[in-house]
Amino acid sequence: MIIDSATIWEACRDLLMGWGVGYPVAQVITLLLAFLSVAVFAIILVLALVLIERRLIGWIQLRPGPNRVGGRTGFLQTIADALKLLYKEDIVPLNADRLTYFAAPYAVFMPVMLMLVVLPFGAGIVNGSYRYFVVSDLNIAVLFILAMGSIELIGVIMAGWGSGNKYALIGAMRAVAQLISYEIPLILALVSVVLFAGSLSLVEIVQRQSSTWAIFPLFPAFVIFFITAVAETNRCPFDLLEAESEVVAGFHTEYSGMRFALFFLAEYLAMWVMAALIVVFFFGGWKGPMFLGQSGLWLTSFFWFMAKSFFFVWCFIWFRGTFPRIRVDQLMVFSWKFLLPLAIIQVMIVGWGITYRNPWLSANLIPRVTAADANTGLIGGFEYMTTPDALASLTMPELVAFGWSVLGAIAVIVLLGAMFYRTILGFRPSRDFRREIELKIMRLEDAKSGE
Amino acid sequence: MARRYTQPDVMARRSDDLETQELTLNVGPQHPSTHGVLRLVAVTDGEIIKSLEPHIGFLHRGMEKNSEGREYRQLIPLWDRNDYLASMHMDYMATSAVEALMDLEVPRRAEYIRVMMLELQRIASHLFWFASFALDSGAVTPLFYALKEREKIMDMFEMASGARLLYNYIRPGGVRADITPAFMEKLTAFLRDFPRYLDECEQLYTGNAIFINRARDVGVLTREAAINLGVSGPVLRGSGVAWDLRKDEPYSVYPEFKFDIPVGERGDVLDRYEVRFYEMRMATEIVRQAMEGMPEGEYVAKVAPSPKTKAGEVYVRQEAARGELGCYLVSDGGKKPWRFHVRPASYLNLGALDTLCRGYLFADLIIILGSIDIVLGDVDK
Repeated sequence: MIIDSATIWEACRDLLMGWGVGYPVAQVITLLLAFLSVAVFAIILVLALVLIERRLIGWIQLRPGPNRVGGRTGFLQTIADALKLLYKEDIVPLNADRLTYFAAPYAVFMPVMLMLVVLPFGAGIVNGSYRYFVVSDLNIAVLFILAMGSIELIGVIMAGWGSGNKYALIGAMRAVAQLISYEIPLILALVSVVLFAGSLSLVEIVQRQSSTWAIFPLFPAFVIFFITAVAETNRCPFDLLEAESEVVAGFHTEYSGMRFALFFLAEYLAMWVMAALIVVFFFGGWKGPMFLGQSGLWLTSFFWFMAKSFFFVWCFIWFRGTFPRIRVDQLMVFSWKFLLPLAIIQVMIVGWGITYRNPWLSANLIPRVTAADANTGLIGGFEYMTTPDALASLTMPELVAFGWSVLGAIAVIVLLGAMFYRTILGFRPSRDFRREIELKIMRLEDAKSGE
Repeated sequence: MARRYTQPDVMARRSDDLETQELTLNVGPQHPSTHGVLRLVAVTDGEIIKSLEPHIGFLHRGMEKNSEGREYRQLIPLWDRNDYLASMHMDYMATSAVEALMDLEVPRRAEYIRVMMLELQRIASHLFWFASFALDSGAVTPLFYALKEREKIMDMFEMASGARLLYNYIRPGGVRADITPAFMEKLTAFLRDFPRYLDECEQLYTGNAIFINRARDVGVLTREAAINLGVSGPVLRGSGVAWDLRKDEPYSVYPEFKFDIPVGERGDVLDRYEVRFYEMRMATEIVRQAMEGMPEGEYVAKVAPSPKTKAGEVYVRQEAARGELGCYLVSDGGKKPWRFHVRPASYLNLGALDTLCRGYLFADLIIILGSIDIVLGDVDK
């Protein structure tokens, strides 16, 4: 059920205006307040994230991790690190292009911060009406997010070029190649989500997932988005642009002090934002598990949102503790030859589902087709229906199409189950390789005894 | 499947549409993954390596000349420092050269202890190689798991020799100290756990699709090229040449042990990787056989504190962790060597790097360098 409502900040603005403050002043105050709260939240979040990552990686790697500053948990470690970076000398290489060198950290950091503007953190009831905790409920939020993700890239190439360092340049070149080629499957995965939800607004997309989280009908899109999210945030196994064994530290090799800290901040913030976007697009945002229904409580919505996003943050950290780095050409091949076709097929399937009024692939939003509409060829609006109701209203060819989608879903489940079985239970590459080598040795010994 | 770009291909493809410039990239001497102070000057076209030149000598300590001023037993702690990740092999190299010029009857127990220590050292060295190789390929976690096991071997060496890295343990006539029951206890526990640990390591890393894609058909060294370039050890065996001095030119008591020599098929990074892993398993077997068949008796023969050798020259070689470790000793009959020349395996294996890297990507350079397993102390002497 879609509830027409506004953000909590608009409620604040209305409150201020009720006290006699003029509209422009109230608007500016509330927007500043909103962005400031999000920014402070982001900084604290990054400090926490760095610590969480280091502790988790330590746990994976049989070592304690930070455990000195602030007791055994080391909870003051990142603050100490930040202070250290503040006091570090700001080194500028002699042959640096000074303007781009100085501007690059901000060009990387700001877009990531701006992504937080459209991110819905939660929802709840204020004064009897439903309000969202989001700075601005843009109706083109998905486009905004993609645009900000691309602007970040300019900062990366500025850093690489401005440093006057070959490693930095190679790192930046890799970054551009990687981010551009991974942005295309990412956008296509989002196109299928947008088709499914019928809106570009993140709040709307979350609200459309009231009955079904988008991951169930759009599982391939989720896989694509998850992989590309890891690539977009330059995390292992796609951390080529800062592969320390190859290009030292990539585009930020020459940076030190607070400028380096900004890159660091942007990277971790981007990691969390990507995790949050996965949650928003595929896991029902601030909504809890579907069977619990919609509570309308601020606290539960925050809880579910943070819990789900941190689960994906944990996945990112887990990847870093597990995977080796993928090679640069294999990275491209993976994007263009696997992810892109899969994304296109996913978009086609969703489009096909919407054309045939498949309730599963259109978030139970069924186009209302009246006699008049049938004449003009236009759709007379959408209507939320439960799946049985929607099925009852379908015509025969549409029902057949729905049957095909059921078969497809079964096929996907069987395929995934088989893959899971092979990976977890039946597939031991190391054992097979070893046997191969043993066979070679046996052959060799046969040859020797033959002589 | 072969993905090696030959130079004419690269030039032809690029000259059609774009005029590109070669990029000379200086890797090192301060670089996270050159394993020390090695400088590589790579000429790359984009990310494809066109040629590569290793510049060595940053760690040159003049050890060969230095040896000429030392007595024979002083050579051992000096050459310990050469390949500091496989000091036992270095000990044995200096010792065996000196022993070859002395009429010495080394006790059987000493030879067994030596073989045991050499094979344990091989495991430790390969474990460290695995750690750094995994790190080069971008996986940090295997490093800690590998070093955890290596630590146990370090502990055992400490029990035997008193030192953890530079042992000065094997010496003319035998070994410095006898092994203790406590050592044997620890060794038994290690031998019991280690094969299981290797399985775990392989499940963690070997089976990873990303790793296999990066290592298979990368850095291919053909059989002929391997022989021509004079590489040895796992690099040579990875290229399909069954040449192991422990079998083909047996020294010490190696003929009394049963073990296999793993040989690769394609000569790529994955083959060298698998060869080293199998060598670790085989080394475990040899250590077990040495432990079970350990004879009683003296652990060191009577040797003068500063021994003299016969006048003459000798070249001894052994299969060290990194390959053939040879030593050419010329003596004028005194207490010091007249000439002491060492053939380090790392040095000659590094010479194959250019051949190995040409036509591959810059990212492959690091993993290929890792698969050669060099120690810069060994390269620069």
